Amino acid sequence: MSATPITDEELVARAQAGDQESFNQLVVRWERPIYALAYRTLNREEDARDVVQEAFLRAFRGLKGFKGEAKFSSWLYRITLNLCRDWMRKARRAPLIQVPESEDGLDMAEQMPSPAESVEELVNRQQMSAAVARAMAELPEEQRMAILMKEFHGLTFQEIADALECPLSTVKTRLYQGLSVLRRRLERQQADEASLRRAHFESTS
Amino acid sequence: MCNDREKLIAYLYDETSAGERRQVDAHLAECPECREELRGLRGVRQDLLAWDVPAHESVWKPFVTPVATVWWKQVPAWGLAAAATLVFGVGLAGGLAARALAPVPVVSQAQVLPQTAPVAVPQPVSASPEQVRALEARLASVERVALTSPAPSRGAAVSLTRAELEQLISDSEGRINKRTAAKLYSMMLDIDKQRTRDLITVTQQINEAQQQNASLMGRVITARSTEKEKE
Repeated sequence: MSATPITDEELVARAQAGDQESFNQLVVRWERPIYALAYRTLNREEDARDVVQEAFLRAFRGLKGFKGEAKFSSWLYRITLNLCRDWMRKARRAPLIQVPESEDGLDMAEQMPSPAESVEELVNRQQMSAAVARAMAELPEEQRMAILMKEFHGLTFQEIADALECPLSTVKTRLYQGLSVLRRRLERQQADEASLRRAHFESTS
Repeated sequence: MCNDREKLIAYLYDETSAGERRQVDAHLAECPECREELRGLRGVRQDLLAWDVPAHESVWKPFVTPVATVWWKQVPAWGLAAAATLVFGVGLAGGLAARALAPVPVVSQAQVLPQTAPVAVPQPVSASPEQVRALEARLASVERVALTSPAPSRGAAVSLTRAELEQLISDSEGRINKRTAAKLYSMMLDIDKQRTRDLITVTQQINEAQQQNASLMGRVITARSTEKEKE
């Protein structure tokens, strides 16, 4: 018989009552998604780590004021996104286009080669990952954040609207515009790659 | 519907009511543009799955619930010993003084015998040697507990069997080999791409040079033929 897992709401209530271990559990539960959001927003591991640490510190300090109108995760996402925005404004730059860490791709956690995957498949996956990261980094901030939360964190339109503090219809519009731009960019990149491969094939044959 | 992108997005992410869904289905059945649009958006969603995140160590240092510290643990051992000696000394002196100053009781046999009510003699406030020893023993046991507490985790780490350890090493080596091969392969692809790009540039430059050459040659030939005609 498996015990029912404790919900975020229960852990939040316990943490608000002063149980620090419950807050630790919330961190364990949410650190990876929050890190992924920060990393994909900023594209730098070091900055993502700093943002995650600061986000949890702010959440801890502000926990008493969290009334539970939105889900704990939406609240945490909003803190993280605000910190990412602050970071980008301070640094006076958009996320790095060159995607330094993912370009190489060999340090990727989820890109760890699985036994069934060939080297070619692994490299293709890494290159696709870098291409997506580049295309995403070029999107306007609001579209990028809406796509990140929908695609990688499975938030509903309403939760994204809560996190980004904008109307529901705006979320849908941003998603549509962002995905359309991404589609054009990725298709163009893939077409360029294909023509390069053709040219390479012709030059070597 | 073709202009209602919000409905298409809601349909794409399956966040529609059953009625809206039927409406979009009906429209898609007769609109090839919207079908193509939807196919493209689904393709992008598929591409996005390739975007990975690097491994990272936890950045959070978990809170440790403070354990109530016993006051005497904060006092150094020599301090405890000095305090115990002092308390013992004061107690001893007090006891001796009380005995020296107290009037010698004259008691008759009758007062002493069975019915005698116990007389409460005021005891000096001090620790007896037994109490000090008990305190020291308690301190020692607290320290023993503190020293031996990390032992279970060490024991758990050692409990890996040799076979499991070899398997772990082998898995790790396999992953490293594959990652190295992938890095080499990736570099090879990059070199190939760059070479092809260079080749395309060189070919274009040769073509341009040939065209310039041809036009120059044409002009030279025209000029010569004009000169010959003049002659």
